[in-house]
Amino acid sequence: MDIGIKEVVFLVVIALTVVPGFLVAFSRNILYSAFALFFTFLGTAGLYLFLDADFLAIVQLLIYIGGVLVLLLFAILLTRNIDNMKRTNALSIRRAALAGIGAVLLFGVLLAAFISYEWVRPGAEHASSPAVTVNELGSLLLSTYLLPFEVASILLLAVLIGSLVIAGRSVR
Amino acid sequence: MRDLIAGYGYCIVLFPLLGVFVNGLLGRRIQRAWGEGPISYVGCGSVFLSFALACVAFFSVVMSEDKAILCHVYTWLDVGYVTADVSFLFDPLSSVMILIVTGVGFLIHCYSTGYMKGDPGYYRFFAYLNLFIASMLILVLAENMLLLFIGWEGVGLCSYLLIAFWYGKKENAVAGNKAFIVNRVGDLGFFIALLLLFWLMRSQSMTGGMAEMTAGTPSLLSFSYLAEHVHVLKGVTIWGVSAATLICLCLFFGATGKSAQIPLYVWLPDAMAGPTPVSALIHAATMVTAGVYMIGRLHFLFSLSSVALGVIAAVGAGTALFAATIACTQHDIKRVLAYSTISQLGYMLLAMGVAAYSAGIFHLMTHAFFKACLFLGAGSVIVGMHHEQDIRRMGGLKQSMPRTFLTFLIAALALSGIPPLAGFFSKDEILWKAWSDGHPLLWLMGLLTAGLTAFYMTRLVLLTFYGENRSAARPADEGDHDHAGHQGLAHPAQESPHVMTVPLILLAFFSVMAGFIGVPAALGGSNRFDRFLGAVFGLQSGGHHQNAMEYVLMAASVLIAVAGIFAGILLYRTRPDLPGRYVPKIRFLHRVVYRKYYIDELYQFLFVSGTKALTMFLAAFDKYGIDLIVNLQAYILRIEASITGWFDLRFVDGAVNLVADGALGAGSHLRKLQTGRVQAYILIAFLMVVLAVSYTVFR
Amino acid sequence: MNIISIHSFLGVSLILFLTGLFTAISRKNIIGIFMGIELILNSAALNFAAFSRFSAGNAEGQLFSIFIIVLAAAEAAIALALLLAVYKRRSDIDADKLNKLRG
Repeated sequence: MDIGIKEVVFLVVIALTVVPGFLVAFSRNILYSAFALFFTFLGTAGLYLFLDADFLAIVQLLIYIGGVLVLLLFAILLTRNIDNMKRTNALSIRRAALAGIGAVLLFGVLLAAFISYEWVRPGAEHASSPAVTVNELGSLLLSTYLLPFEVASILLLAVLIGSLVIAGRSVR
Repeated sequence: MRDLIAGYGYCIVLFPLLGVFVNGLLGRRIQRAWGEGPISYVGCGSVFLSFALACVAFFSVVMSEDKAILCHVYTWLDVGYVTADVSFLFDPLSSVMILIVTGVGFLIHCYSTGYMKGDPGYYRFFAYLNLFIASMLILVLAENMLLLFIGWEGVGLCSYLLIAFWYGKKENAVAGNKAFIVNRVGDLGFFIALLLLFWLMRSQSMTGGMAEMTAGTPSLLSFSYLAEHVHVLKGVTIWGVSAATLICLCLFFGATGKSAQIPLYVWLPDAMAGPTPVSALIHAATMVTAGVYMIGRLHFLFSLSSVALGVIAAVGAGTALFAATIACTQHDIKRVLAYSTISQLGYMLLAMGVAAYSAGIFHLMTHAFFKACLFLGAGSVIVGMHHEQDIRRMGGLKQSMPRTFLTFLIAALALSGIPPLAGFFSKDEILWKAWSDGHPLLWLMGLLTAGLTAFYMTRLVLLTFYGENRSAARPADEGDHDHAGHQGLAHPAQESPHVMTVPLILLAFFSVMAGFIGVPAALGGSNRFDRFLGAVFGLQSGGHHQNAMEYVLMAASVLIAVAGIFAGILLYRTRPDLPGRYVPKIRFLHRVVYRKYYIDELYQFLFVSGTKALTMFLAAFDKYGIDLIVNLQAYILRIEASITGWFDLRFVDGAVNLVADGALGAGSHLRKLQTGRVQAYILIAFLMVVLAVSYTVFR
Repeated sequence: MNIISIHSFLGVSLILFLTGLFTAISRKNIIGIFMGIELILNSAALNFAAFSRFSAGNAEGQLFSIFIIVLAAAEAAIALALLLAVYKRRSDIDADKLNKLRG
């Protein structure tokens, strides 16, 4: 095993991704969960960098952290019960137990399945694939994946209007 | 003339039948519209026509060679081996009978126009009377036994219809019932005999190897066939008894019913409830003689069984004596004559029993004349006395009803057997034949009966016509002696109209003259009657060499008749106090005889009460026995139904309910899965996925 | 063997996925559930990117990840709008209380 600096950083980034995940799962305070989520997103962006997906990493930072997380924090803010600040994010024990057991099981099974499988044919591994640049992404978007692109834009429009309708009804 | 009879002889029967149809169906309207006249003409006229034709038939027979003319009307039955035709046989026997039936019948029809005058059922009477004439003619003219049986039944029916003519009064209806029922009992015997005869004739003719079987089956019950072939029954036995005897006894049983002998005579005295012309015609002259005729017709059969003949003679003689004793004590004028009829019928049957067939028929004829005359005379008396029938309340009619009296007297003397009136010859011949055939006891009984006959007829005549009119007298208590009352006239009696007295005169005339055709050889006559009937019976003149005995017997019978008359005159005219003195001494005996020996009461006890008890028993059995079973079955069914219902309710419904409850329960449990919380759904889906993946990976 | 291989990325993605699923199932707060869903989506996107780099060698996996992110954002908007609507109605965001569709 090659443990270079790259590998160490890799492991740190993995830790940064996975551990806050557990915090998200088990924390009693919802704000703590939200911040843990922030770190998970961050870690994921780092992982994207290791996958030579620079644009994707930036998009992750921008939209996930800058959009979704902020939205999440606003929602927490708006729906806060002042009384019990401490325990705002309880767990249902029964479900937790069952889900935990199931998760562990599935983890074991799938891990075993993953590890033993040769996902990449040896000869076909690209030592360094041609860098995927924004150019390439852009041209893919506008050629092969034009339809999904357009549909997604319509969807965004619908979401825009819809969220206004749903959440804005109470404004009198 | 022979061809006329052979071709149209059936008209003799047809004319009265036409009378029946006209008077029966249209009579009511005719009577209402035009009164009784047309009905009388139709009724009497039809019989007169029959009489005329009967005379023609008689002469045809006399003048014919073989003394038998057959008038075939149509083939009635031709089924398998049963053949019978509707055919009428005209031979000496039947021609004598039809003359008697139509002649006397005609006279009685004329008499009835006077007697029944004013009766609302006038047309009905003549219809029934014509029907009777027709049935009787069928009976005597029948060529085979089946047709005879039809006539036999027909006269029984008419007897019932006519006895119960005034059915408004209950006792008339009861008397009619009694006559019919007793008759039917006798007819059972007749029918059994018929069946036996048929069966045996057939079986014997088949096994006896009769070569003369013609093409087509012979009519086994026709008289011609029977006369020829009945000898095959000789020696045939059924259950140890000679077949011929059995058949003859059964036939005789039927004859006792029709001809009122012991044991089936009980209906005749009660039959006097009918109108007097009915009594005269049916119960004196014709219907009651059917039994005698039948025996005469089947003489060849009876000749086969001396046992049966012996029984017939004994019963005849016994009945004659028996009935004569009862007649001495009765005080209803018609009842005396009724018992007298029974007694005289006994004489006829005695004659048949000693095989003196033509003697029996001779007496039948003479008896028809004088008995009819006596009955019609009694009817005249009854009408004249305004429907009084008790002789203790009569008397003194000699002057007020001379014609009736004279004819009555003549007929009474004829009945008593006083020569040279008709009764003497016929009765005497019977007594002679009884003696000469070797039955002295029977002769003695006949002789005593003759004495008694003379006695009670004298009594009747004296009480009815002589002395003072006792119609206002109080009737003595029952069974008492007759005594002359002292009161005077209440209603003066009147002589009857000519339409009633003329027949009386004619009948009285014949009572005198009819005897002369049967004068026996002993008295210098040639007994043409006997010879005439010889063609049927075979000449029966045996024992001519016993002439001396015959005279003795003749004298004996005359003497005893005269003695009887004297005794009657003594007791009822000269010394009327004598009965009053002596009867109380024999009160018990007198009562028994007066009460007809309590036979009616005995029959009532034995048969009537017994049958009624059986009826009640069977009714109770049905009600409690059979109904019980039926109800029980219904009850069991109900129980079973309720069990089935319970079963159905508990198990079947239970099963169904179980299913429903199961569904409900399952549903109520399963719906708890629907918590409405999405997370639970996700959890379950997740767990399932885990399972599926595990399964796939580790397979 | 190299640590930076597809296996590690798949492992990370698996852990993230199961964690997210666990969170989605067991949290009572609606926002908590939503966080779990975001984790799941994230793991999926990571998966796609990993395969794009190691197996396919082109950009399609990454493009798909971009779409995932876009859709996740849209979905977040709607979900939180709904959340606000529910909160306004009930002043409570306990997921266990939202059981009107129970049987």
